[in-house]
Amino acid sequence: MIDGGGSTDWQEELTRAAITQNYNLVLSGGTEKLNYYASLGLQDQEGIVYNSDLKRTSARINVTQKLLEDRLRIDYNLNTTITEQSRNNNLGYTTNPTFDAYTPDGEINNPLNWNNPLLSNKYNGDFSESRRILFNVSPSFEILDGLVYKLNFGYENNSSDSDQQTIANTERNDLGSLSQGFGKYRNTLIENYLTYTFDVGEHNLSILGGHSYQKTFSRSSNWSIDEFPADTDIEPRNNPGLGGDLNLTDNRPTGSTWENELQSFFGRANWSFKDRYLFTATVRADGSSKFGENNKYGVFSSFAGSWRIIEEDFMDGSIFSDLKLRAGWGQTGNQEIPNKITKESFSVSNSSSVSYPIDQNGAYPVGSEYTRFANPDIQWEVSTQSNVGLDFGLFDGSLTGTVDYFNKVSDNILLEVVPVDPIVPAPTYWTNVPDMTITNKGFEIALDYAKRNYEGFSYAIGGNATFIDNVVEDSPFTIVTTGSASGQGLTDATINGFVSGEPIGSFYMQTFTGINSDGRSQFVDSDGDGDITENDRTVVGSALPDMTYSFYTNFSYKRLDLNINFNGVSGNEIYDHTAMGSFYKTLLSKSNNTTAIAIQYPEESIINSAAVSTRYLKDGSYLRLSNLTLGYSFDTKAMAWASNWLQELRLSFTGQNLFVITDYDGYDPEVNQDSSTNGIQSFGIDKFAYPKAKTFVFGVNVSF
Amino acid sequence: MKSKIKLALLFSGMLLSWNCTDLEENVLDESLNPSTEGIDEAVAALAPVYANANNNIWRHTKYFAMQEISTDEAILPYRGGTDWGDGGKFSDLYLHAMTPGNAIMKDVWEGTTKHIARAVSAINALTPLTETNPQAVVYLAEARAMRALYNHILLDAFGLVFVKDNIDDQSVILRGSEAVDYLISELLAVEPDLSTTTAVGPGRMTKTGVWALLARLHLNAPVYRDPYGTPDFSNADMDAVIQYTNQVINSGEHALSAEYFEIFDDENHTNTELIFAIDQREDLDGHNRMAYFSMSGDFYPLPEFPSANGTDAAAITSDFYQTWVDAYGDVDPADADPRFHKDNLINEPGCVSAEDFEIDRGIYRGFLYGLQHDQGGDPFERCEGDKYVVDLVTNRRSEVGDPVFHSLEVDFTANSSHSSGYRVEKYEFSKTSDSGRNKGQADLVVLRFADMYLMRAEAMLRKGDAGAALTDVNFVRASRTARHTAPALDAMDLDILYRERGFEFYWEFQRRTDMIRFGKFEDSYTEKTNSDPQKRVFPIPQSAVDGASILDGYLVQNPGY
Repeated sequence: MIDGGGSTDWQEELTRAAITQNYNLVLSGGTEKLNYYASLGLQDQEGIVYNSDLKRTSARINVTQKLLEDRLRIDYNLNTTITEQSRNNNLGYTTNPTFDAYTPDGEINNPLNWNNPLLSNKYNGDFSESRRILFNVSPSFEILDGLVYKLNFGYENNSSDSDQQTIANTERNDLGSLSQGFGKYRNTLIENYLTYTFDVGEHNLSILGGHSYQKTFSRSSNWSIDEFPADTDIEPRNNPGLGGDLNLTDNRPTGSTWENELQSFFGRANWSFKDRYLFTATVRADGSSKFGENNKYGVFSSFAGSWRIIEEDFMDGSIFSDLKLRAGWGQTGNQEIPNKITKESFSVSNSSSVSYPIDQNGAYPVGSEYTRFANPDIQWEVSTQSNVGLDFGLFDGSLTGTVDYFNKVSDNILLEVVPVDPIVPAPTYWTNVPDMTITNKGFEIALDYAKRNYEGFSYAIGGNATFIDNVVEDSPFTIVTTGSASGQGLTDATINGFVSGEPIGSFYMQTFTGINSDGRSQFVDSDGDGDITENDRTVVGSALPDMTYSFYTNFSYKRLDLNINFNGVSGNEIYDHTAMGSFYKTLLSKSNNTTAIAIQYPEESIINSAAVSTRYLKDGSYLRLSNLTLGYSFDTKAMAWASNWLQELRLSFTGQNLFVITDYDGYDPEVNQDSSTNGIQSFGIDKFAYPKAKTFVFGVNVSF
Repeated sequence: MKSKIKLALLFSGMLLSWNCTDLEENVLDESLNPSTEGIDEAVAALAPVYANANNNIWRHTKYFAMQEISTDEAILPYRGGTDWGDGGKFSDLYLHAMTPGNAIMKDVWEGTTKHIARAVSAINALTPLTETNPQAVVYLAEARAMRALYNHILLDAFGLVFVKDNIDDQSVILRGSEAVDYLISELLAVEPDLSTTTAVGPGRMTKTGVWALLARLHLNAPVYRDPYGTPDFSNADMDAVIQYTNQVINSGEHALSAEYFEIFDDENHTNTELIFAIDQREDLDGHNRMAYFSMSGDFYPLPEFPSANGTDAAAITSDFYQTWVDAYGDVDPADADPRFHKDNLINEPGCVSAEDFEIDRGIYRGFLYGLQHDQGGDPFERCEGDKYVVDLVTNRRSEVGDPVFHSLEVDFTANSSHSSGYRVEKYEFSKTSDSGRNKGQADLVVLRFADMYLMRAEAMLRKGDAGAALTDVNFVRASRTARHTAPALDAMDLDILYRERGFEFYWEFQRRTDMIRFGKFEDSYTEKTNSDPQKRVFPIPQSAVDGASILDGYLVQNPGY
């Protein structure tokens, strides 16, 4: 153990109380024929970790113009956002706390063989800027009474660039490097549809037919250069030409471009009778260029009806102020697969993957190979959802609520799988897995109670809860990994995935039972074969909560108001990858910092491995006070000096994330890092999360 | 009014741009069907059959691990609890506790099946060319011979072969005798069309390559025919071994290398001991993995490159070292047998110029002398102008600050630190590499001439002629004349021959096959006590079994998994 003689709280050195400034200016107004709304927003947010800042500028204009005796209406929206960002998640989890952060004369302390994380902050940088422009024009023209033609044209254009650099220096012996990425994204949408609305007696009908076309384009590229002059003040990104080493082995540029088209034909019919019985039917044919010749289109329909029971005569005089029953059935398609997978690919090159010195003394020849299967039969994954719901209001609307039951079954699941016969050009291909289904069913309940204006005092209380039961069935695979570990000695170890009979995001690992007499981890031999192998892995928990809930209360007394919001989940687990990767006893023996869990077992050997197991699986339930706002709205009419130009003046104070009640001992139980495999979303893995800040907001709202 | 007209024009323009599309995917970043004009189609078809096999199959973490870390020749602990844990894939393999999910199974399976698929594609592309292009006849024979070689790896490891002549067909799976007979018939069918090694070098499949492979196949055929029983080394198979080894020996194309370690030099391509090898080139992703992966992480083979260190991977077990001690008694194996070690670098503090700096070869024991620097990435310490300081190497991994000491004992508990265990530096670390660890160009040896003598010796011994076997073994020992020569043996039996194969072929992708053939695979040694004969054949990777599960009974998992 190395004792540097100091005492440093690295989290203290690497984080700060950060200040965010947020300004919004809104102009709006209009005449009978022309309305406009324009806004400008400026956000300057410091990250609580140094070098993780965000600046966002956004501007927006919405205009509505009515023409030709109001038969033509044109909506016009223009929206731009520019985001500048620097990223850093260096929290020095494992930095030895006995080293001083700074030398007595204020320099960054840098003793031999030891990397001060402050030096990494000083020399490494990760910056990006993205620019997004989006506009939308949608004219609608009433051709005849009740017959409206509408065109919607939308265009989005994003571009982004990023710089990752290390400034060359002799302090840390960095040679310096720069890697720059460029991205471009365009999305064009054209929708045309006709709607005809008419009444027949007390029947109200509406029929819609249309077409939509969407084209997306994306291009990304990256290049790099190494070895910059050391100890200059010039950042590599400001002059890449100062770099001294660029070769195709270390710096081969990368890039990819894809284009995608979606086309749909759709129709919808609405019928309502006396505003009491409502029925909607839709049918749409969705086509995607991602699918093969044989199955470009999927036809999806849906039906929904509702009955406003409260309108019935027999409800007169009941305690209900509202009562409505809803039911629906519908199908939707999923096309989330990579591009090009229906196309066979044959490549010809003299790269190392296909070339070989056939002539031992000659030039390397070109080699040819098939690199991808054609799968022209791949088709839309289909989700079929049924739902039944009830909306109700009681006591003159003081108590309102909804109850919903839903059941969604997805089949034709799109997955990348291994072929039956392994003697084929590519080791995997994308297909619809036959018979496999993923079912998501459950209840949603919401209740709100409000009491208004009781001698200047109003209050409301309410909440909602969702109970979900998710299950994967008839998967032919032992496990389809969706989340895996990374890091030294842990590469690709499965953490969670799809297992038949279990929810998606099920944790699949060995069960840890303690430390044995050799000081090594001990696991359950669940298959009883006498050996501890990966066959002893079982489903040990789920990343999906059984219940997600939130509740709120608000009070107002005259011009003072108070809002309090809570949210939480229960019944899920979190895999603490951060602890597995950073807080084990070996690191302590190598003079790194850990947390107390590293010495939880005094008998543990310092060479015991931190493998994926239930040792790092933790209860993920929590309850958070997500938002508390206290506000005061001034009576501008009573303020003689301002009453004729000031419409609204409000001061507010908001606290966000004020407390969390949880047994989870990582940074935060709301985890959001992606550890996905093959592009399938991962769930519930906490891997070096950016810490969630506690935020206090002071706000002034002024309207003129 | 003007503005209204403009608006109307704009909308009618949009109306007309109703792009009713056929949704044909527009591929922009790759050429799906590139022109083959101007390229030699026959060579283009054959090259991928061999290309990148050094990375896809004969890699330290793939086929090397499968053939060596499953045996007493190599053990790879979770070093210091920080390195080489990899989800237990190496320790499970060593303990014979491998499972269908073990990544090494998947890696070897995928690499081998990929190359069989490339061979089948090459056969399909070359067949029509043979009518007009005589070179295509040779290439077609090579593609078939390589398909047999890759299938032989599958048979040896997983107990099956895939028979497929057209890439669009579904393979027929053969096991046991049928698989052996298929491979023999394929090799015999193509042999007349092949080139000689003298003409095309050891990087391609040739007549002597096929004979050597036939000898190896016949020698192990009794195991393949009855993988879990006691092999019956029938005279017919042993006679075939003698016939094919004789054909190679009498071809006059090959000779034993006087310096044993030159077989594994960076420039070994012209060494006539090589019969078939993967021809690595530094600009075709050739690599130094076989040279550096066992080496200490604090040890640097190139003075110019402070990033070309070792990785503290596998070590030999104390049990394997004991076989050298058993053979040579009081004489240090480094003094008794030139195959154990070759001294190149000074073993004391000193000052060495860059051109004189050359690391030792063979097995490394005890303290380690090497280049000095303060921390990773720093330039090495200099002396006498531009020479380099050589001194005891400091451990920066497990026992930080102490000198690195490679101990005899290495296991999964007390002796699993970064420096535990004797290391192997059989292949030369390329001195022409100008970017650190990669850019190696040593040919990776698959079949070599010394094995012809040792296989012939074994066949004759199994037929009862110990005298002839002893002559062949001593011939190989006596031929390494560059430094000292190992003393002649005076007796021969199966245990001595097995031990001799360990001395001659350690870490050459052969130990597991040898252990099974000599009935040693179920023995107990350091950490390993599993004696289940079903572990002789590896589990088919779970991903392959899962993928084939929609076709009932097609790809059946091996027993015991």
